[in-house]
Amino acid sequence: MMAERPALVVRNLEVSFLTVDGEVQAVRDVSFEVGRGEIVGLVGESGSGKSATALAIMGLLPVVSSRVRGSAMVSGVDMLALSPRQLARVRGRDMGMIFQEPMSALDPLFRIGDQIAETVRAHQRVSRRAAAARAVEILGEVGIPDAASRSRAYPHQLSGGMRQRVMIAMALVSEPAVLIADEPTTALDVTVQAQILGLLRRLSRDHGTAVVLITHDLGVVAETCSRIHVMYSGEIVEACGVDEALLAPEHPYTSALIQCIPRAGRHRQPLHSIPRRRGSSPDVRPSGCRFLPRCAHAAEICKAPQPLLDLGDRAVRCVRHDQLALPGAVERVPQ
Amino acid sequence: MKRMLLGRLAALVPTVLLASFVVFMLIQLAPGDPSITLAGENATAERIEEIRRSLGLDRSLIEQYLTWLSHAVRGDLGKSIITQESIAAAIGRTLPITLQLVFGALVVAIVFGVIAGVASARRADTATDAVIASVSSAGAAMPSFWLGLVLVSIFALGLDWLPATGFVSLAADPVRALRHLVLPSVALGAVGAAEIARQLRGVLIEILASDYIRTLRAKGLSESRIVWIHALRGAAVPLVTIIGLQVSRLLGATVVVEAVFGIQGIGTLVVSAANNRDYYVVEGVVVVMALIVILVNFAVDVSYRISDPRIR
Repeated sequence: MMAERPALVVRNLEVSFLTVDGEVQAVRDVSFEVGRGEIVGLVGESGSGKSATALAIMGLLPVVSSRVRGSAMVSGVDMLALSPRQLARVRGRDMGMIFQEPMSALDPLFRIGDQIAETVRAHQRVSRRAAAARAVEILGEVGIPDAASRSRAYPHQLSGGMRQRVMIAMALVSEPAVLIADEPTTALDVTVQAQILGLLRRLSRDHGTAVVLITHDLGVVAETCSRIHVMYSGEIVEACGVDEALLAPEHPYTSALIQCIPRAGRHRQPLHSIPRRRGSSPDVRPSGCRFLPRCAHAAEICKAPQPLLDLGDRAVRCVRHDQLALPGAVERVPQ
Repeated sequence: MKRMLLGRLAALVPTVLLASFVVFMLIQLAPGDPSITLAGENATAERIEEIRRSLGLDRSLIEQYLTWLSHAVRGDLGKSIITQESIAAAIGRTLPITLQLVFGALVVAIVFGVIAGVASARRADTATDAVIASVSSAGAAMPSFWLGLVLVSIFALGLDWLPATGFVSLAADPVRALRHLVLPSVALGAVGAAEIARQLRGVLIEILASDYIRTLRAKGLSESRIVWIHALRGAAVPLVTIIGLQVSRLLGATVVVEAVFGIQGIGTLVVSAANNRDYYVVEGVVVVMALIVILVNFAVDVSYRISDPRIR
């Protein structure tokens, strides 16, 4: 029997931006898939191309100043091949997106219930009354107390956490197969962050939504995702299960990211940091491993182009991966 | 809200008083006086002085102003020194004509301005945008009397599609009134349309690049709904501000256009009164105009609160 088709399949995604200095590549050779009800993390520092990847899949990059190649299949339809009009029809219906800043991502002049009902009516032929009722229902589902009266509130009358719940409700109201969450908890404080992540896990499980969780925070990934794709300088450098990544990272960048997490029990030690980027801006990228200028394990062989090596259950873009016993979140005990 | 509105309304009273006082004093600064006109040609100095006294013009300015004010607050704006017509009646006769013209010009300015502003914001930095920008620069630079003359020579004298001069009340005969209204409205409203288009373009470009517009795209709204419902609503406050300013400008600019199209509006009334030093007519007209401008500003202020829930 054939395995169930993944909800989202991204193949060979490439994104470049047209600038005054010519075309600059922001994302290269990105492929991944997300199954129904699965949460996959896309991790990397600012500028690693994770948000560009998300916006490209949603077709939200500016048409005139960007080029997108490759494919992104959602429920068997290639999002990257659709016309703007066709895209508007599937956005919000087959795939939804939530953003980092719940403060500015909602229209300040419309009541939140109306903003959700509007989404319903953009995709289904239902009455205003039915759309409004659906809005109240989903607001209740994302944990907004007293949803019926809160649906008449304006965004500025809600807290940051509540607004992010509204964003989630709006993205999920048409039960899309895929949800892309771009740093959904970065702007929130830690307790609210935990609640929102819990909510995403529950909704993904209950509705079988495939979630792409974009974050720079490995703690968030550890708490929420089953698999992780680490991006660096526009490329996926490591892809594997979350536990494997955290316990035994095979790419020096993944390992370095893990070392950057502050930990209890390490008194009076300076916080770890990855050396400053040198020559990593897109136009002066090294032709070999892009992490080479910052890597503590660089060798002569790293100057050659680095393919993503398929190791069966994981993939890594490091030719020296099997020579390095890189530290993970748990110290290895010598046997 | 209601309390705030009442407070704002009460605060308008000193503004109106100040405007009426300043205008009263300013007219007196102009050389000449109505008694000279009334006395006719070759009048003796004694005759002119006699008329001055009978009109009360020999008293101090403050005294004259207070007398005028005490009548004005009771709705009595006095009589024209020259024609003896009641000033309130003269304003009542001419103001609706001017307001109809201003209204027509405002419709032209808003309709063309908003369409052009939205079109150029959606196609920012394209050929369409450039064409709209140059047309609206030309529109803003063109004096309305000249545009009026051009329109008349093309559409009235040349093509004979529309009447060149005259005025018909909308209430009396809507169809004929509209035919008479088209050319003067375009002549008067062109500058406003250009102004609205340029300002709206800037505001909309900024709004269309904002985070919440990206959210609207992400949830699958059509581009036209995003622009016409959400972005334009976001532009409401600056848009209403420009429209409010246009009303004040149009009330002033109507004088010239009335002259070109032979419309007997309030502009014509005030110009002939000013030429004859008919002080109280000028004073009455200016105070009524000031009142209208102040009320428009008040309405603009109130509309901010209605359109943006954050400042309610």
